[in-house]
This record gives sequence, C-alpha cells and structure tokens, in this order.
Amino acid sequence: MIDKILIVDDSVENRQLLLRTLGRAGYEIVEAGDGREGLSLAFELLPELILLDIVMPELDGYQVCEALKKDPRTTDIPVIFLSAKSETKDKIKGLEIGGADYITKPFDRGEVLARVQTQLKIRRLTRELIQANIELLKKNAELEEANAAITQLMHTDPLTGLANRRYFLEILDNFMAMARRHHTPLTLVMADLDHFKTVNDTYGHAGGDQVLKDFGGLLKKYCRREDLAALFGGEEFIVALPLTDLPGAMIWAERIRLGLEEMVWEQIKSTVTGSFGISQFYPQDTPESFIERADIALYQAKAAGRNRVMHG
Amino acid sequence: MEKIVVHVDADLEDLIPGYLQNRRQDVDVILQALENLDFETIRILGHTMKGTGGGYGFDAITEMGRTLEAAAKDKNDQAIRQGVAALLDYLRAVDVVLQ
Repeated sequence: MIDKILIVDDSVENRQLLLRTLGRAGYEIVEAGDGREGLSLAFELLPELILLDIVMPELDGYQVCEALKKDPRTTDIPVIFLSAKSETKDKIKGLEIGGADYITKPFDRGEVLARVQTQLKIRRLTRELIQANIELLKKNAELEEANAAITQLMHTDPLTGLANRRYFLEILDNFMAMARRHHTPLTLVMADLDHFKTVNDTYGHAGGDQVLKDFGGLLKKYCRREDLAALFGGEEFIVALPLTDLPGAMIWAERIRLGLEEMVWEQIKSTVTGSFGISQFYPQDTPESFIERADIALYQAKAAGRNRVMHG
Repeated sequence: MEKIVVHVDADLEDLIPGYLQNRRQDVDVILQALENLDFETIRILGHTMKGTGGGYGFDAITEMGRTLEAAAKDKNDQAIRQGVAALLDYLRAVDVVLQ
C-alpha cells in the first residue's frame, strides 16, 4: 500500500519541492496551503505522516499540531515540522507539543526523504508491536483459561462434578487450620448409598452412575458456598461443613437423607436410601482421626439398619 | 557582468525557471510594499526566500531572504533597498548548470 503524506505549507515552492522529492520516492502526496485546510485534510484522509510548516497565516503549525495531537483519530500520526525558524527554542517547542521531528529550511531533499522514511518505519514498527502485544494478551488469556480448566479437571470428579478425594483432603487441611485458629466449629458428614451394589446389579452401571450423579447434585444443592462435598471413593461421599456444629450438621444431613429418599428415577423403580456418619472437629484432630470418626459413625448407621444419620 | 554559476539538481530542471521568475516578481512586490510601508509583506517574502532558496540550490537566495526578513523586522528602509538590489544583481548574473 502506498503511504499517504500530507504537506501543509503556505509556500507553493516548498510544496513543489517536497512533492517532487517524495513523489519520486513513490509516496502519495496531498497538499494543503494553510493550517486550516491542513487540519481538515488530516481529519478527512488520516495520512501516514504530516510535513508541517510553522509560519503560516491564521493557524500556525504549532496550533495545527496541537489540534492533531488532541484528537484520538490523528494523535498517532507523526508530524515533522519543516520551518525556516531555526532557533533552538523553536525546535524544542515543536518537539514538546508532539512533533516527531524538526527540519529547518532550506532543507536538503535527501535528508527530508531519509527522515520521512525513518518516521514511517517507526510508525509501522509501533503498529506491529501493538498488534503483537494484543496477540500476546489474547494468547495469555487463552492460556490462563486453559490452565483454569485443567486445574478444575484436576480437582473434580468427572461423574458427579464434586471435588475428588485428593482435592478434598487438601482443602480439609485448610478448614482444620482455620477452625483451630479461630476456635470455630467444623463438622464432617460421610454418606454412603445403601445397597448400591444391588442398584448396579439390577440397573447396570449406567443406572448406578445416574444415582451417583443425582446424589452428587443433591449434595451440591444443599451445600453453602463455604462447604465442600466430594466423592470419596466408590459410592461414598464426604462433606466438610465449616462454621457448623454437630446439631447443625445433624439437621443438614437429615435433610439430605430425606431428599435422597424422595428422589425418583425413570429407570430405577426402587427407592434409594443413604446412611450418614458425622464427626465434629477437635483441635487435636488429624485429618485421619477426624475422618475416621465420621467413618465409624457411618458404619454404626449402617449397622443400626441403614437410612439414618448418626454421629461419632 | 560576471556570471555566477550555480549547480542545480537536474531533477528540478523544469521547476527552476519558474522559481527564478517568481523571485523577479518578488522584487516588484517588495519595492511596492516598501512604498506603502508594508513591512509585514516584505518580512513574509524574505522568510519564504530564506526557506526555499537553498532547497532549489540557490543558497545565496536563502541568505538574501534572511537579510530582507531581518531588515523588514527592523523597518530598515535602506537595508531593504540594498537587499533588493543584491537580489536583482544575483538574478541577472545567475547561470544555472544542471547536474
């Protein structure tokens, strides 16, 4: 694509000279004879570069440059001042208000061409850099998303969508540390589906899986944001209830038990029940001792006839 | 009158006659402006000559423009007349050689 350059200069002879120099180099040139026309053409055409005289009637080059830099459409267009004002203070002013370069008149045509090419190269490279940065940010976001998905998969049991055993044990450590430090209650509920083998044998693994999945859903439904439910193994589930004491956990587990009893499945004709064992946390507990008491209570619930909640 | 040889980029060949012709016209405009005490017009013309001369290969015109611009700023009638005379002499003597 041919780069479009806008020349703003009130001297026809200067414009002619620039037109000859830059036109021969293959650029498309647009001319403006004063500041106002230059500004209007800049907004209309959005050229790649502007060569701007300073001393012009009405709107001078400094004013034009300031207006260009204020407008988001034109702020990134490089402006090269071309002026017979050759004092250092003039050059500093030009660069301070946003000029990319400053060439004094009379100018050497070769030097103008070289400086124009440099500015266009900087502009092109800047654009490429911005584009590359955007791509990089996009890739980073995708990577973060993928990482989050992988982490989620690592923590989750694929059938029920509950936490897996490893992740549960990791979080239980934190729950226990918090309860120990703040002297707050913490309880564990272990749940096991009664006669689950019969369900599997009668309705196949698909039927069994559906029951596991739906029971997982029931647990999730009754869990608060701070609770954590997991498939602990086989048809055994475990739920940690922070800030919940033993009576609270009993009520909670009873609700789950009743909920399970009331569940109906299209393909499974019989009622599925569950047994529940609860333990409450003591500061001297290890995860093993804490879980073991819930497990014992669960065993007792089974031994007492199943479909009940007991605590250790 | 001794010729003043100026080497100019051949690429500008077609632009040179017009450029020198415009300077001859500038002489008339400056003299007229001086009669009207219009120093601003002279200053602008001087500034333009200063900015364009060297670009076309006429460094002397840039210098004369600089002198005229300064003289107009100072409203120095005599220096302006001298500047115009020098410009006229130059325009008569200049011999362009393309390179």
